[in-house]
Amino acid sequence: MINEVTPAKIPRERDILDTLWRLFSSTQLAAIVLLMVALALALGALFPQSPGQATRDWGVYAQWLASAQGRYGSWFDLLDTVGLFDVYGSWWFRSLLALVAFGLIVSTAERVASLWPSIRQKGGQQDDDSFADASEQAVFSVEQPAEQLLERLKAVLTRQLCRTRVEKEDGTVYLYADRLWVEVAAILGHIGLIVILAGAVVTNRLGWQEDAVTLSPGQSHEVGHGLDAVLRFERLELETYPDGLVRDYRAYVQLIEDDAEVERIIGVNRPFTHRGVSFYQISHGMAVAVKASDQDGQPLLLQPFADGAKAAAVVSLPFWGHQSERHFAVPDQDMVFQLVFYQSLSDHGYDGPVFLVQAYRGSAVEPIYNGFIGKSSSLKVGDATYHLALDQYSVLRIVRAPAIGVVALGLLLAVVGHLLWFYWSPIRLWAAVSAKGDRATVKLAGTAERDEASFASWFEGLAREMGGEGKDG
Amino acid sequence: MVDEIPFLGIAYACFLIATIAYAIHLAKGDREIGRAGTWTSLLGAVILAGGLLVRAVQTGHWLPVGIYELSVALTLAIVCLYLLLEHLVGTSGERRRTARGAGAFVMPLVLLVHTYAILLLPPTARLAVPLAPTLRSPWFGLYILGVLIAYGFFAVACGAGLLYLCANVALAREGAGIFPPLEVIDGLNYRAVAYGFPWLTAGLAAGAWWAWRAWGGYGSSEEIWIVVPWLIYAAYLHLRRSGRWSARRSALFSALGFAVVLLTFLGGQVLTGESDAISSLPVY
Repeated sequence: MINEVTPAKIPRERDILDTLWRLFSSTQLAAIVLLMVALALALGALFPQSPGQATRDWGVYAQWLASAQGRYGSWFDLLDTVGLFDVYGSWWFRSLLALVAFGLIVSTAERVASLWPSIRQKGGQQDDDSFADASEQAVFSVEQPAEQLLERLKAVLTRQLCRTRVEKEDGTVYLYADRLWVEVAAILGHIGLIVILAGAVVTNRLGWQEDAVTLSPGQSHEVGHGLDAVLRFERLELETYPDGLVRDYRAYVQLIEDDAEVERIIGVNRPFTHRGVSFYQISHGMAVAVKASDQDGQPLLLQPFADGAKAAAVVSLPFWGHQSERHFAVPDQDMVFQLVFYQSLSDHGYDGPVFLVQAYRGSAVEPIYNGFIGKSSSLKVGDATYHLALDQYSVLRIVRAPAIGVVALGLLLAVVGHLLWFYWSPIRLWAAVSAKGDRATVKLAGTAERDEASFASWFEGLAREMGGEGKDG
Repeated sequence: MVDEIPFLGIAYACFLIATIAYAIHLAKGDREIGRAGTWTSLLGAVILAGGLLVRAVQTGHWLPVGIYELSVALTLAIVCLYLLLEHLVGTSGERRRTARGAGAFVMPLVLLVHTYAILLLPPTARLAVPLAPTLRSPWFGLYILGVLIAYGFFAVACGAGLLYLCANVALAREGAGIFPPLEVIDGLNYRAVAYGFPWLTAGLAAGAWWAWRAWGGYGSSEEIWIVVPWLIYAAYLHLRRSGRWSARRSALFSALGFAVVLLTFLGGQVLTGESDAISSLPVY
């Protein structure tokens, strides 16, 4: 006689894929990785991060390097080697993020797989094990017809946002209730996080941004990156509080594309988007537009002292803050001008923005002109006349983020998923109601996935409301 | 012109009295004293809200910005959310005793933050300034609101965690004694974190969207700092789900978690002495 062996009873050996799947879907690994990411972010916020890649400005990078080397001394090289000055670009930080993403995908798939039978069945299995395994149980008898009691129980559970299913068998009515939607919300929350990460990766790979595009009135900027458009800055409008502090500001611009001109306003918190490219108003400041003419009225060429600045008949000099300086030369006149910006100089009678203007001839150290201007002015210096117009420049950021809508969707899913998941507990309840004349005997059992103490209290209240005396009758 | 300082001072006195009342309630089990703690906390919260109202009239904006206003608002958030949880959890005598027992640990946290706001911050940090243009956004308001509510809940979780740890030590030495049942304290600890976490998620999402609308980017030090507490509490919630994580460890974790919140919120200012130092709440 050959003994039959039931295949299901043979313990299946775990292969490497099974082990990996269990590892990545484990909540313990997820927690460890999350703590590691938290530590990495903290390090990134505590150590000064290299601006090299972000700005592509060697001057800014050199300044940062000198400051960091001075601060960390002989430790600098070691810290730099382990990537502490470029945490978010380091291979180990990106590996951690990849691990987070992979763990999220695996655990979400695991949750969907475990939930799928419940979704398809529109209810849970109901047998003696369900009652035996439940954390809370109550058995009681009520002087009320079984149908009425069942209806009351269903009404209470529906008010508790549970879905219910009723089955009849051998004179006993079985009721099953759960909050499946809460578990679906948890999955939504995880999917939201996956979507955010995916959107961020796509934006990082396919997007671009131009930081600190500084434009004075009348200046233009070629947008590039496949968008054959020119942005022309017209003017900046300031709105102030009664004490003079800036309340709001907005740039009036023209976007010129294919000979068509579109006028737009770019405000703070109100970017302007055109064909997937967004223009942000991120800062502003005082600028002085200078033009000069000789004694015959002929325009003079002016050369600003700034990286890449070209000589022109009209130059615009932006000032970054209080006491910042700008210089320009007038080659035909053998002159150099220095302008210094002050927010105000009450001692000299200026309560608002004011500029110190100094003009030097040749290599002389004593200025031939030295004076303040608090508004647009014309100055006669040597044989030439200089027109200085005070205005506001605008600093814009131009960004193309192809997956920002995806990130927004992810944020929404994450918020909604988390709110639903944590404010309602996933619970399961089983009830068996049998009738004996006008009396109904109820066997009630329930279990909660978390916060068992609160659930126990609620369950006791439910049993009492149904006519029992609480837990275990 | 009336300023908010007298309001803050009276609220401070109320919170001090409430701390003592909750501690006596925990030690003696006197219900009336526990109730007095609740009412004194509520009175302190109302007076503090009045102080913030006066401050709002002075500055011309409702949103708390800057380390001073944010610290005061956080104090108010902790007290209000503690009272809310005390009300929600305290459905029976045992549970009410647990919630008020946690009050003996939550109120000192309130005093800590409030002391920092009114006594330790330099006077320059208290200057009333109007709202900067970038902060005039509803998304920024939601950002602040979400984070304050979350931090308030986390403070309550920290108080419950400390209560649990004390009760656990007492149980090991001489039986439960004055302390409420451990499982009820653990339930309060978990519930406070679970209620706070979605608000932190919502605050973070609103903050990310605000930064995107204002600058077209996300990733300044402040914005990164706020992700750190989120990750820590996400780890806490994951560990709770794994069956092998004990209630004692959860209590310890939530107490340490709030220490991280305080470190990321106020640590920069305390360590550097600069009121605009890096913080997990936007100090602009």
